Formats: sequence, structure tokens, C-alpha cells
Amino acid sequence: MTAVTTRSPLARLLALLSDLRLAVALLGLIALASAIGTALPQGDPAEAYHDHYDVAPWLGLIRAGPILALQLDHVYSSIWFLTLLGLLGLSLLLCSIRRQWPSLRAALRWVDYTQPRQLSKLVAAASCSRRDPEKDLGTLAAGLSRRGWQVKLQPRRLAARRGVAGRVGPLLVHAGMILLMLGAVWGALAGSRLERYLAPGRSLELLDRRGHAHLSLTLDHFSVARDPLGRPEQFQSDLTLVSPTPGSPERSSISVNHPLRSRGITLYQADWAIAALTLRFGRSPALQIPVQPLPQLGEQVWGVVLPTRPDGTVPVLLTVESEQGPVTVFDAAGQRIGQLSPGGAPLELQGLPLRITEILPASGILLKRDPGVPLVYLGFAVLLLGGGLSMISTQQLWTIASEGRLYLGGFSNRNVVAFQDQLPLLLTEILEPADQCRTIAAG
Amino acid sequence: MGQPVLLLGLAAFALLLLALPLAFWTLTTPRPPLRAVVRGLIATANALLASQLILRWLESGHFPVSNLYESLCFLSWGATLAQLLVERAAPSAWIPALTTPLSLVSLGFASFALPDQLQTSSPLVPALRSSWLVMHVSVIMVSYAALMVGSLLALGVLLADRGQRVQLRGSSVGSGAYRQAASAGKGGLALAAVAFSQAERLDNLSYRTITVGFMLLTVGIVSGAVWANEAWGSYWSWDPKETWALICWLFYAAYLHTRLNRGWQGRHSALLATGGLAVIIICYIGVNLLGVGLHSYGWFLSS
Repeated sequence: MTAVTTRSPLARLLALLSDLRLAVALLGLIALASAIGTALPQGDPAEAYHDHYDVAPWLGLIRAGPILALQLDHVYSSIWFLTLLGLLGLSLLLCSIRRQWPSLRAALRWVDYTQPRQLSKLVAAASCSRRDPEKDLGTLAAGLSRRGWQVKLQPRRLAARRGVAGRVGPLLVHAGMILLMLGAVWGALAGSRLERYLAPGRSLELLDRRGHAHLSLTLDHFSVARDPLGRPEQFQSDLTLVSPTPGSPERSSISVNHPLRSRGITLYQADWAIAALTLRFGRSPALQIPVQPLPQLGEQVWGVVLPTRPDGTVPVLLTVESEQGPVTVFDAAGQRIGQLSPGGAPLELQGLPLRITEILPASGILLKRDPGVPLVYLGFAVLLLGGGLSMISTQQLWTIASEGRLYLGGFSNRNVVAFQDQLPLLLTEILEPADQCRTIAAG
Repeated sequence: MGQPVLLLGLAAFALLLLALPLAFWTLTTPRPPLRAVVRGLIATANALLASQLILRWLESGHFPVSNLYESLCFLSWGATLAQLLVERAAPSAWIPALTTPLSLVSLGFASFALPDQLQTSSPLVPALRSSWLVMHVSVIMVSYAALMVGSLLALGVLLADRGQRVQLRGSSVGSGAYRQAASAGKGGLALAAVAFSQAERLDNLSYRTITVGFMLLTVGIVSGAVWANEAWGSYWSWDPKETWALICWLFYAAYLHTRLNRGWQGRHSALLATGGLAVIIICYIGVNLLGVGLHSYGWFLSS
């Protein structure tokens, strides 16, 4: 440890950041912090935490004050969580450069063992007396290369290896992680997203960063496909996209799982809502009345309160849960008066017949621009390639012929036990007859 | 749900129930014919579960993972498959004894503990109507099965050869492949292989199983991220289910890294791997059943 104190502060910091123990600690801390984020509601207004946790502290200990101060109400965007992720990224980078790269280069080098004693440090080892060990080396070389080993035959010794590509795996996994973290940072800094409900016939004007019109989006038609029981199966929006640059307008449709990519923007079918009811009181013209979500009545209930008298008294509440109807009517006391289906029979309210002619659904469209996605996907690809290569176990075998004896030593990084078990069988197969070798190696 | 599906599940459960005491028995007294019987029982249970899942698929018209019952049956299928593959790679009486309880418990839980409404096959919400579903869910489930089997093998490291020191066998850099070199002496040198203890054999087997499970979990998470980006416009949204999948990933990543440190020999890493069992159970069952957060598949689940 005395050498550490003489190094520069920067070198010591780099050593600390590439320390394996720090990496393991970071993995553990990030896992723990992620778990906390699933145990506490995230992103609620501050009063909600006071209302709940001042009365019943979290885990019986923690009130709203510390929760808010430690940013536990938004763990995943808190400064300390992002710092942990940043440190992990740094640790990955430094570890790849300082540990994995040299280790990979060392693993790719052919190691030349010349003395039998050097093989004694390998857990898979054997030695046996042979009539002509030099000839055995040739037989082994031929047998191993037939079985897919790379072989290097030298006077009185042989080195062979298989599955060296597996050693590249961990480095690629780290590289993939770094790439996807970079992509995520880029996306967070340079990307943007916008969620809008659009009723059929309405348009949305998108501006670029300088305030110029970038794209105009019109919803031509929105439909919900439902199964016979009325449960939604698919949502589809037919859109027209017009950009100020010359060119014909682009007509396209989006649905769940089938977004549209255009001009650097991706459009997703993200949600739906009921926008308005078209109704008639008596012989009145058709009135289109916008409705509001009513979360106190259920997650997907919309409604509106309407007066039934000219002076605004005797209100009724109309609620609707599906664009197919029906519309349920309640009186001021909350009693259900009846149901109306679009285009169906009227309902008498204080002698005034009420008809619903149309229920207008709106499409929830998500517009997103994330320039980091290609980098993230590249990171995924590199990560998976590295993970796949990591499945390959590297095997190395050295054989030395000396004084009428054959000395063998083997190495395997991941599969050491099975490799050691199979080694005698492999030798018996190639060096026939090899009774002596087999008995010693299996012993 | 059709009667044949239930009957196939119960038959598989009965076979596993029969296999478990036999597996424990072979552990105390080595009887090769009995081990073949245990293997046969597990393989038959695996085949019954496979035919049950296929039947359910044909009945409902979608990949059979839409509810907890189907998903637990799938887990049992994956666990029995992982167990058979591990035993094929390295036959040992410890493997069925350690891992049969997993498929037995998950199938028993599915068959007897679940309320009826969780057993009926429900239609899929729009966001899940995608060909990604089959790939993503099956890979994630098989990865959970492999990781849990690997963790149970690590439990074996804690139980086998107690009192004996364990040296870690197997890591990406191969630190377990070396020993103290022979000291210089005169005359011919006799080299012999190190005899691994049962605990060390299980340690290597557990490490390799977890490596495969970890890779599958990576594929599962990545496919989920790509799918989410296609369906919702965000490859990561810190939904409790995906967060817990990430926690599992981080946990096992930590386990794989503890094996690289020469200072952390012995049973520590096996203890960590065994703890992974709890993490997966929270991720798999806890997030849905204990109500840790609200798991919903996007905006569409409640519609």
C-alpha cells in the first residue's frame, strides 16, 4: 500500500474509480435506490406526501419532510441517483480501459510454457510415461485441430486453444452499456416529447426551436376497434402531415404498436378520450358540448353537467365511458334517471326530450423526438453481442514432452470443472492407446 | 378454462410431488437407477406442462402468459427444462434435490393458491397485441427460471461440504483455473488434476447457469425496451415491473463481479446468488401481488 501514497491524486482517483469493489457497491446502491423508487409513489405533488406520510410515516420512520428533502418523491431524476449512474458510467469506462483491455490483450497472446513445472499451477493437469512423447505431440496437434482447436506446435511442446472469442464478451458488454448511457444522456438533453388529445378534424401546428412552422398535423379520422364485449382491441388514427417545404401532404395512419416516423419525429398512438357529446334538447339544433374526465367516478369516465331550465337550475349530469355509448343521466341528487344511446330514443327530462346524436372520441397522440435512440439501440446491439460471446468458455491446453514423459496442463475460464472432467476423455480419444495417461489424469 | 388444461397441470404437479422425495433419497444413498427414475419423472412433467401450455395457446388464441396462472405454469416448465439441461451437462444427485422444489412450489401455487379469476384466460389489452409479446415474455420467464435454478444450485454450495473451504471455480477471467505451482525439486514431476469438492462443482454449475440466465434476462430487458419504444415512445419509463427486472439484472451483475475479486473467495458469492432468489420472487410475484407500486401496461390496461 506504500506505493499508493506516492502516486498523484489523479492517479489515485482513477484507481479508485476503476476499483472492482466500487463497481459492485455502485451496482448495489443503484439497485437499492431503484427499489425505493418502486416502494414510494413517484412524482406526486408535495401536499400528497404530507397528507400521507406525516400521518403514517414510511416504514414507520420517515415523514414527508425527509422524503422531499432526499428527493425520494422523484428518485429516478434526483441529483444523487443521476450522480450514481454517472459514477457507474465512469467506472465502466475506466474499468474497460484500465483492466479489461490489458486483460483481453493478455488473453489473446499465446503463452509459451517450456518447463513441466510451469504447468503445475493449472488445476487441470496430468503427466504420464510414453514410449515416444514427441510423436504423441504430433498426434495431439492433428487431433485437436480436427476438433476445432487452434494449435501451435513447437519443438518438444504444443499449445492449443479454443473459444478465445469468449474473452472479448465482457469488454463488449461494458462498451454497449457505455454507448446506451451516452445515448440516454443525449436523448435527455436534445430530445423532446409532447402529448396532445386531438379530436377528428382538428389540427396541431408544430414549431421548431426558432419558432418557425415545422409540421402541421391533422387528425382525419379516429376509430376504436372493440371485441363483442366492448373491450378495446385497437385504436387507430388517420393523419395528414403537411410541412411548409414543397411537397404533397403525407397521409398515414398510426395505431398501438405501429408508430409513424417522419421528419425526425415519431408519432405514437398513446391514448384516447371522449372529447364531446352532440345532443339535442327538444327541437334545438345539434349542440356539441365538450366533456371533462371525471376521475372521481372511475379511470375512464367523462361527463358534463347541463342545466335543464332556462334559469340554469335543475342540472343533470351526463356520463359516458365509451364512444359507442351509452350516455348515463343522473339528477342533482345523484340518482340515475336513465340511459341514452347515440341516435337512439330520447329521454324525457322535466318534459324536455333529450337526444344524443353523436359521441366524439379524441385520439391521444404522443409526438417524440429522441436523437439518442440510434445510439441506445447500437448500445443494445453491442451489449447483446458481448453477452452472446460471453457464453463461450475459453479453453487452453499445453503439452510438453520431456524425458520420456508427456506433461499436460489445461485452462478454462468459465467451465473449469467440466473441462477438467473431459480432458482425460479427450486425451484417450486422441492418443490411443493412452491407458497410462488416462489413469493418472483421472486420478 | 378447459378441463384438460387443469388436468394436465395437476398431473405434472403429481409427478413432481413424487419426484421430490425420491430426489432427496438419492442424495443420501447413491442409487443410479433411482436417479434415472427421478429424471424420467421430471422430463414427463416437463412434457405435460409443454402440452398444457400449447393447449392453452390453442384455446385462447394468444401466447399463454396473460395471467399469473399461465405464467406460473410457464415458469415451472422453464425450471424443469433448466434443471434437465443442467443435469445433462453435469450429472449430480444434488441438482434434482435442489431444484425440483422450485417447479413444485410454483405449480402448486398456480394450481391451489390462486383465486379463480386469476386462473381464467383474459383477453389482451391493445398494447400487448404484438408479436413482441411472445419473444419478450418467454425470454424473460425462461431467464427467471434459469436464474432461480442457478440460485438454488448456489444454495447447494452453502449446504454441501460444510466446514470445508471453497475456492471459486469459474469466472470471466478464469481465476479458478489456477493453484499454487509445485515447488522446485529433483527428478521427474508428477502432475495430477485437482479434485474438486462437491461444493466447488456446484459453485461452477451455479455460476454457469446464472451466466446463461443473466444473458437471457439481458435479451428480455432489451427486447422489452425496444418494444416499449415502438408501442409507447419510450424505451425506459421506470415502471415498477421493468425497474424490478433491472434490479434483478444489477443484483446478478454484482454477483458476477464479486467472482472477479481474488479477495472474495469462499461462500460469499454463493450467499449473494442465493439472495437473488428473493429479488426474483419480489420482481415476479411481489410487484403484482403485494401492490408495490402500480404495474400497468401503459395507458391502456384499464380501458
